[in-house]
Amino acid sequence: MARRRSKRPGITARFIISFLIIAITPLLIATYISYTKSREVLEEEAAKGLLSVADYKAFRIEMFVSEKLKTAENLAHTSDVIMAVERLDEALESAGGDSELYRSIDKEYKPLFIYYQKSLDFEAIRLINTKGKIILSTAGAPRRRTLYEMVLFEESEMTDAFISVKENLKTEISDFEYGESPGKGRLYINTPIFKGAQLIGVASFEMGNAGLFEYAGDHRGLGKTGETIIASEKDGNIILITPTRFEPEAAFSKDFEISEGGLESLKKAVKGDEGMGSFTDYRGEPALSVRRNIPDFRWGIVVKMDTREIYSSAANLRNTLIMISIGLIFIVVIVAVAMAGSISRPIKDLTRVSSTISGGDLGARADITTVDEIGDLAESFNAMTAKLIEAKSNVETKNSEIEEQKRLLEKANKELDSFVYTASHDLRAPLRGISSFATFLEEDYRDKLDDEGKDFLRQIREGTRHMNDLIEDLLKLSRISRIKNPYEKTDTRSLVDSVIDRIAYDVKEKSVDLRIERGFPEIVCDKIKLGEVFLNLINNAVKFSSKTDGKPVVEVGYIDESDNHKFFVRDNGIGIDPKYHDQVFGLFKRLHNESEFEGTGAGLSIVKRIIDDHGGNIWIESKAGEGATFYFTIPKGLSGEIGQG
Amino acid sequence: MGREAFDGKGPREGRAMNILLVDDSETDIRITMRAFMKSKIKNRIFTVTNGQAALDFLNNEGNYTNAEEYPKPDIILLDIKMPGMDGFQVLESVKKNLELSSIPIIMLTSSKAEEDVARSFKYGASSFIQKPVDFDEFVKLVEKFNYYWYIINQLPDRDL
Repeated sequence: MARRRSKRPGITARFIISFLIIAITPLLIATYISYTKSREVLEEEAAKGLLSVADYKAFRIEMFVSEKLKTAENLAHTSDVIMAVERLDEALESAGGDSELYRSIDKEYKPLFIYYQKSLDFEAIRLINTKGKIILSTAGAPRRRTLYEMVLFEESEMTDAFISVKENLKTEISDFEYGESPGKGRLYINTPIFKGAQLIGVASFEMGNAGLFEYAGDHRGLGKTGETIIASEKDGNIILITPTRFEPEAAFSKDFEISEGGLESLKKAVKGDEGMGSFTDYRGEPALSVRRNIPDFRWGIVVKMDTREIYSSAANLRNTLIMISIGLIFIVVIVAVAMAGSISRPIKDLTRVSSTISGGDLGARADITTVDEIGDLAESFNAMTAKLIEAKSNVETKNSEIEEQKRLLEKANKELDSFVYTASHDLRAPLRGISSFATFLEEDYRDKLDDEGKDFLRQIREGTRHMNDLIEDLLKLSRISRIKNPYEKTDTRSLVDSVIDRIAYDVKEKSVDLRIERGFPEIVCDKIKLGEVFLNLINNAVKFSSKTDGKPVVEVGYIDESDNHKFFVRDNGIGIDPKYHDQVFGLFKRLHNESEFEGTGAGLSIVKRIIDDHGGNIWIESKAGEGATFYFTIPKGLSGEIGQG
Repeated sequence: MGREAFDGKGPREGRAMNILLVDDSETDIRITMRAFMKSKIKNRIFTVTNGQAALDFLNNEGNYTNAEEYPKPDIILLDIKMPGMDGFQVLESVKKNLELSSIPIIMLTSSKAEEDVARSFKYGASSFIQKPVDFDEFVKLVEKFNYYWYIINQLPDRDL
C-alpha cells in the first residue's frame, strides 16, 4: 500500500513564495527603517526650523514692543509732555474741564500729541493726572469721569496699568483687551511722568494688535502649513492676538474654536512653559508646535507646522519604496515562475512519460537534454525504461517457459490419470479372478481339503482383499492431488458430526466415549477433503483407542490461533513412539501388522497431502503407551478459489 | 427380502429373466455365472465375449440368427472394457435401435470412474454396478440385483 502523500504547494508556488520572501522582506525592513528614520530626521529638522523661527519672532516682537516702550518712556520725559501735563492739570484744577483755559491749552497741545501719535505709530496717546483723570486724549474728547470712576462702569486695562504705574512708578504694559471691532485688540503702555522726583501724571500709549500682524503673518521658513500664533490670557481665557494663517477672523474672536490640544499648547506658552510638542490644531490637523514666551508682556507664541507637511518627504519616500516593492513583486513573480518552470516542466514531462510507460507503452522516452541534475534524472530514467523492456522480455520468456512446463505437467497428470484408471480397472480384474477361484475351491472341494488347505485358501482371499484396499487407497491418493474442489465456507462442527455418523457403527460396537468439544468454527476450506481428514483421524483414534485397558476415549477439539485454525483428535490408546512421528505419514507405512490393526497405512499420507494442499501443518504429540494427539492447522484467510498444490 | 420372493414364481409366472451377459473375460463370465447360479432366482444367462457378438445376438444376425435359440433378453449386463467395440459403443448402438432400446442395460464393470458412470447414464444405461473383488460380496450383490429387477421392477413383456 502506497504511503499517503502529504499535500504541499507545487514547485512554482514554493518558488514564488520563497523568492517573494527573499526579495520583499529586506525591502520591507528597509522601507520601515528608512521611513521611521527619515521621520525622526524630518521632525528634528522641522523642530529646529520652528524653534529658530519662534526664537527669532519672539526676539523681534520683544524688540518691537520694547522699542515702543522706549519711545513712550522717552516721550514721557520730554519737556513738552511734562509741561503739558502741568498746565492741563493746573487748568483743570483751577478752572475745570469745561473752562476756556482748559480747552485752549488742550487745543494747543493736541496737534503735537497727534503728531507724536501718528509718527510714533500709536493708536492713541492719553495723559492722565495723578487723580486718574484723563486730561488729554488724542482719541477724542477727554472723559469727564476719572479713570477710577471708569472702573466702576467698565473694565479697562488702561486703568489697571495706570494703577500699577502709580504704585510702582515705572513703565507698565497692560494686557490686551478687546477692541471696538472684531479682530481688533489693544493694549496700553503707561509710563510715569515725573517732574523732578515727583510723579505728576501717567502717559498712556494705546497700541493695537495690528503691529504684530506682520510677525504673525510672516510665514517664511514655515512651509505651506506653518503659522505663528501669538496669544495672551484674558479673564482666564486664551485669546489670539493675531489672526491665524487659515482663520483671518481668529484674532480677538470669542467665537473662534481652539482645539483642546491647541488650548493646552497656548496656555503653556502664555504661562511661560516653553517647549515643543504635538497636538491637533483648530483645523483638526496634527501639528508640531514650538512654544515661546515673552515674559515682559505675558504673551505666548506658538509656532507650528502640520506634521503632514513635516513628514511629507518621508511619506513620499515610503510611497516610492512601496511602488518599487510592487514593481519588484511583479518582477520576482515572473522570475520565480520562470525558474520554477525550468524545474517543474521537465519534472512534469518525466511524470507524463512515466505514466505513459506504466500505461503499457514502453516506447516512451523522456525528452530532456539539459546538462544538469534534471537532465541526469531523465537520462537514468530512460536507461531504467530500457532495462524495464529487457526485464519484461525476460519475464515473457520465463512465462512461456513456465507455460511450457505447465503443459508438460498437465500432460504428465493426464498420463497419471490414465495410469490410475488402468490400474484400478486392470489390476482389479485378475484380483477378482484369484479371489473367486480360491472361493470356488473352498466351496467345491471342501471335503477334499484339510484344515491347512482351507487356511491357504483363506489367506489367498485375505491377500486379494488387502490388495484391493491398497489399490483403492492409491486411487484415492492420486485423486486428492488431481481433483481440487473450490474452497468454501464450512461449518466444521456439522462436518465432524457427519463424519461421526459414518463411523457410528464402529463407535458403538467398540464402546468408545467420543467427545466433541464446543466452539468449532466456520472456516474456508475444501469441505470434502477436510471431511476425509476428520474421517481418517477419528477413525484411527477410534481404532487405536479401543485396544487399551479401561474405557476408550476419543476427543475432538478446536483451538483458535491468530493465524490458523487448529484442530486435534486425541485418543487414549497405545500411543506412537516419537521416533515414528514423521514416518507414520509415509505412504503405506504401518507400525502394526494386519492382525493387530487393520488398515493399509495410506490414510495418514492422504490426510497429510490434504493438509499440505491447504497450506497447513499436521503433527503428533504422543509417547508409546500414553495415547496420541494429532494436531493439524488450516490457515485463516483462505479465499474461495481452487487450492494450489 | 422376504422368503416368498425366492420361490421361482413372481410376476412372470414361472419364467425367470433372460439375461445377456457381455464380457470379454472368461474368468469374469465364470464368476458371474456362478454367482447367479447361487441365487434362488434362476435366470437364463446368455454370454458373448465382444461387442459385435452382442449386437449380432440382439439383432439375430451373424452366428445368432435363430431367434428361438437366441431370444431378446430382458436385461443386458454390459462390461465396458472390451477389445474392438467397447461397452459404450454397444450401449449407444442398442439405444439407437428402436426395437432394442427398451431393454434395460446394466453396466457391470470393474471400473468405478466417475467419467464412466456419467457417460453410461448419459448414453442411456439404466444402472451402473461395480463388480466386487470378493466372491461372497458378488453373491450378495446378485441377490439384491435379482430382487430388484425380478421382483420389484416391472419389466416389459418380451413375448408381445
